[in-house]
Amino acid sequence: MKTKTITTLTILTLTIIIYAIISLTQIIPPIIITNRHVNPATENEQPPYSTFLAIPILNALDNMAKTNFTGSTQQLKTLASIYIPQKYKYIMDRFLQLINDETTLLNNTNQLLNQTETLINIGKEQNATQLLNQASQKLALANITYQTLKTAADQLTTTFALPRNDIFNKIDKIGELINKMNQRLLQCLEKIKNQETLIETFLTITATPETIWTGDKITIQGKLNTTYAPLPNKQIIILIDGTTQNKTTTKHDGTFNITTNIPYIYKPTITIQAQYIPNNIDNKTYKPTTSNTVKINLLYIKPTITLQTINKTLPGKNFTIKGTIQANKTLPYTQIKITWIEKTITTTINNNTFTTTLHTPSNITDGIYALKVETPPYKIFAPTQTITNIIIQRLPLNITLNIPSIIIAGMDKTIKGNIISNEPLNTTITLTTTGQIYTTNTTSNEFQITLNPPLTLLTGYYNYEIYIQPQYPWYNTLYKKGQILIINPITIIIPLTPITLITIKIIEKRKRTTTQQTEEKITETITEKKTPEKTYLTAKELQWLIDLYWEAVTIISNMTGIEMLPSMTLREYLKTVTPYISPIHKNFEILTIATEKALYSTEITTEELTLAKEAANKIYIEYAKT
Amino acid sequence: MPKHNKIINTTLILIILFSTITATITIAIASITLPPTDDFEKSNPYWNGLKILSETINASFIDVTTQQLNPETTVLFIIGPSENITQQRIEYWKKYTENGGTLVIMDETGIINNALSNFNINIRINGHPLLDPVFYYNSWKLPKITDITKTSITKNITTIATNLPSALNITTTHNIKILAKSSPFSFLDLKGNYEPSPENPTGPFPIAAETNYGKGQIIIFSDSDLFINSIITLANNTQLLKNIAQNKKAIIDTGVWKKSTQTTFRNTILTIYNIASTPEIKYTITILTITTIYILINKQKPQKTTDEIQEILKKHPDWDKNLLQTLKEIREKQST
Repeated sequence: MKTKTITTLTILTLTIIIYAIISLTQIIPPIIITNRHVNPATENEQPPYSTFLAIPILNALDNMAKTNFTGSTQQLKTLASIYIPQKYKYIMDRFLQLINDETTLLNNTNQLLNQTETLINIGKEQNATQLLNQASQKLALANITYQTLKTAADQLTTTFALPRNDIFNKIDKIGELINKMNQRLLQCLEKIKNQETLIETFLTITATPETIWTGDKITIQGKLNTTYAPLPNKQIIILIDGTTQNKTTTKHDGTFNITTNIPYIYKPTITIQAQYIPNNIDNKTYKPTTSNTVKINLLYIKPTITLQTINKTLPGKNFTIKGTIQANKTLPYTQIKITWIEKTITTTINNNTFTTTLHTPSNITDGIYALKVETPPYKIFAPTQTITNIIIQRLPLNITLNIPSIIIAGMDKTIKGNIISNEPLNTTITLTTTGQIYTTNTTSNEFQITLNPPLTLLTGYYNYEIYIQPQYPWYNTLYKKGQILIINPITIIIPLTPITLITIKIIEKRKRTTTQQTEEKITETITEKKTPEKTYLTAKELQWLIDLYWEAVTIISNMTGIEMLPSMTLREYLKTVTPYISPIHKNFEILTIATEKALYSTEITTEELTLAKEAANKIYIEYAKT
Repeated sequence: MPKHNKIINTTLILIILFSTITATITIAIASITLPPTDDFEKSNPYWNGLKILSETINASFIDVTTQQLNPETTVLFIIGPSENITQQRIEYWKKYTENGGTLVIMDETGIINNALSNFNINIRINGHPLLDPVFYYNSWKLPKITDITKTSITKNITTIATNLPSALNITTTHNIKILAKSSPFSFLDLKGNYEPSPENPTGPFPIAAETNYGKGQIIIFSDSDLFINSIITLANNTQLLKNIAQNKKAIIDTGVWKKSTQTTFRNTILTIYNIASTPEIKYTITILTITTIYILINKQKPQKTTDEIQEILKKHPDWDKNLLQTLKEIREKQST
C-alpha cells in the first residue's frame, strides 16, 4: 500500500515537472512576429471613423438634392455595408431608412410631375390631373419624411460626432428641392386650369390599305376641327407605332391627306396615329389633341433556318455544319452570319443551303454552348435566327494498370499500363509515389514505368497518383490514385534478427535446463538407491542410544579420570579424552557422533545405530578388561 | 542492514523509472489529445488554426522540400511564413511554378519579399498594417474588401474578410492582375498606433493579385489569415478558397513555420507513433513483448531455503535456539 502511494505521488510529480518544462519553453516564443493577426472574438467593437463616415452620408444627401436618385440609392448601399456597433445600429438604421424613403418619395414625385407635364402638352389634362393628385400626395409625404429626417440627423451627428453644419446644409438643400417640386406641381395645376378655358379640338384619321407589305406606301386621310368649325393650316404629326414618321398641314376645310412610306418593320400589326400640338399663338386658343388609332396589318417574309452538325464537336477540332434557309421567295442576299464561341463569321448561301466548317477552341471547358445562325433583314425579308445548343464534352480516357500486389524495395519493378481510347494517343504519363515522380511518353497507348522504390522506405502501403495528359485537347486528362504495398526486406530483417536470435537462445537454454533437470532427477533416483536408508526417529526412540553414551562417558571418566564438564560439548569431551583411550577412541568417536545426531538431528541411519551399539559394547568389554 | 538498504535503493530506482515512463506516456497522450494552439496548425480548432481549411478542401500539410509534387494536379499554399525562407525552398517553389503549378502566397509581414524578389516579379508585401475605419468586421483591424475584379478566382465573390492585412506594393501592372482592393477609406498604419493620421497613406490598396510565371501562376494575398478558423467563415472566404483550389489537391507548406516546443513535442510523438505503426516496428515490439512475457513466466522460482533450526525448534520447542545456532555454524565450518 505504501509503495503504491509513493509510485502514484512520483508519477504525479514527474508529470507536473515535465509539463512545466514544456510549458516554460512556451513563454518565450521562438520568433516574434508583431501583429500578424488578432482574435476577432476578443476585439472591442469600434464605431466607424466619423470623418470618413460623413463622406458617404454627405454624398447620399447631395445626390438626392440634385435629383440624382440613382446615385443616392448607390450611396445608401455603400452606407448599409458600413459596420455599426450594435448599440448605435438603431440610430444609423433609422437615418438610412429615412434617406431611403425620402429618395423614393422624391423620385416618384419627380416622375409623376414629368408624366403630368407630358399629358398636359398633348391635351390630356384629365389624365394629368389624376397623376398630379398622386404627385401631391407623394410630395406631402416627402415633406413629412424630411422633417423626421432632420430630427434623425440631429441624433446621428451627435452620436457619431459627424460634422453637423455640413450635414444640415445638405439636408436644407433637400428642403429646397421639395419647394421646387411644389412649385412645379402648382404650375401644372395652373396649366390644367388654363386648358379648361381653351377651345376643344378633334382629330380623326383613316388609313388605306389596311394590309400592306412592310416598306410600302400608305395613305392617311384625316380631319382637324373644333366643335363648330374645321381648323385649316394646322400642323399634324403622323405617328407610326408611337414614333414620329411624317408631318403635314391641314387644308382650308381642316382635312389632310398624306402618303408616307411604312418603315421596314417586321411585326404583324402596327398602329397609326395623328397628333395636333398647337404652337405659338394657337396654344392660348386651342387645346392639343391626339387622333384615333388605326391598326394596319403588315406583310413580310420570314425565312426559316434548319441546321445540323455533321460531325462531333470537340475542343481543338473543326466541325461542319450544314443548313437550309427556306422562304416563299428567292432570297435577296447571299451571305449569312454564324456565331460560334464568341466569334462571328459570314458564309455564302448556295441554292438556299449553306455548309461551313467551324473551329472549337482547344482551351474551352466542357459544357453547353450556343451556335447562332442569322439571316439579315432585307426589305420584305425579315431577319431571322436560330440558336442550337451544342454539347462539348471531351472524350473520356480509361486506363488499365497492371500493378503488382507486392513491390520489394530496392528492386526495380515495371508497371505496365494501357490507355483505352479510340485512337493512338501521344500521351505523357506521370506517376507519383513515395515522393518520386516517374514520367514517360507513349504514342501507342501502351506504356510501362519502372519503379525503383529506395531501400530507405519502410514496409507499408504507399499512395500513388497517375496523371495522364494526352496531347490532343479533345481528350480528357485522367487522374487516378491508389495504393501499392512496398516491402523492404532489410528493414524487416534488421529488427527481427536479434529477436529471433534471442528467442532461439532462450529456447535452447530452456532445453538445456530441462535436460539437466531430467539428468539430475535420474542421478537422484540412482543415489537414493545406493545410499543407506536414513531413519528419522524421534528423540524418545533414540533415548537408549543417549543412555548408552552417558554410560560410556561414565566408563571413560573412570578409565581416564577426566570428567565431562557441563560446559563441554560431546565433541569437546571426545577431543579431550581421545589421547588417553587409544584402544577404544575410535569406538567412542562412533558412539559420540551417533549420539550427537540422535540429540540434534534425529537423522540417523540404521547402520550408524548398529555401529554405535557395537562401539558401546567394545567400550564395555575394554573397561571390563581393566 | 546493508542488504536491507540495497533492497530499498533498488525499489526506489524502479519506482522512479516506472514513474518517469508513466509520466512521459501521460504527457505524450495529453499532448496528442489536447489540440495545438500554434498559428496555422492543421489540428488547431481555435481562432488561429487551419482546421476548417483542412476539412474544406482536404488539404495536406507537408514540408514540400521533402517531397516531389505534381505541379499540374496540385495547388501549393504558402501561408504566413514565420521564419526566413531558404534558397533551396525558393528554388523548389520556382521550379514548381515554372512547371505549371499554382503557388498561393499569403503574407502580411514582408518575410516573403525575399522570395518574391527571387521570382523577379514586381509585387512586394508592404508590411505595415492596413486598417479600414469604415468597412470592417467588429474592429478596424478586420477590414472588409468589396472592390473585387471579376476573374475565375473571384467567381461569386463579393466580399472578402481580412485580419490585420497589409497592402501589396505593385511597381508595374505588366503581367499582373489586381484581384481585390481595399476601400478608399482604408489606411496604412505607419505609426503602429491603429489610429488614422494625416501621415498615413489612404486607400484603395491592392490586397490580392495574380501573375503568370512559367507555365504556372502565382496568386499573392497581403494577408495570411483569410482562411484561419475565425475568418474563413466570414464573407465569401470559403468560396474564395474553393475557387483557388478548384479540383486540385491543396498542399500547405509547413516548412515555413517556426514551431513551438509543444507542437514540436507533439509532432515528435506523432512521428514516433507513425514509425511504431510500420509493420517492421509494430511486429518487432509485439515479438519482444511476447518474448519478455514468456521469459518472465518461465523464470525458475528460487527454491525455498528451509531454516533447519526453525524446523528443529518446531519439533523441540524447549531446546536452546542459540546453542543450536552455534552447533550449526560449527558443523558448517567443519564441512568446509
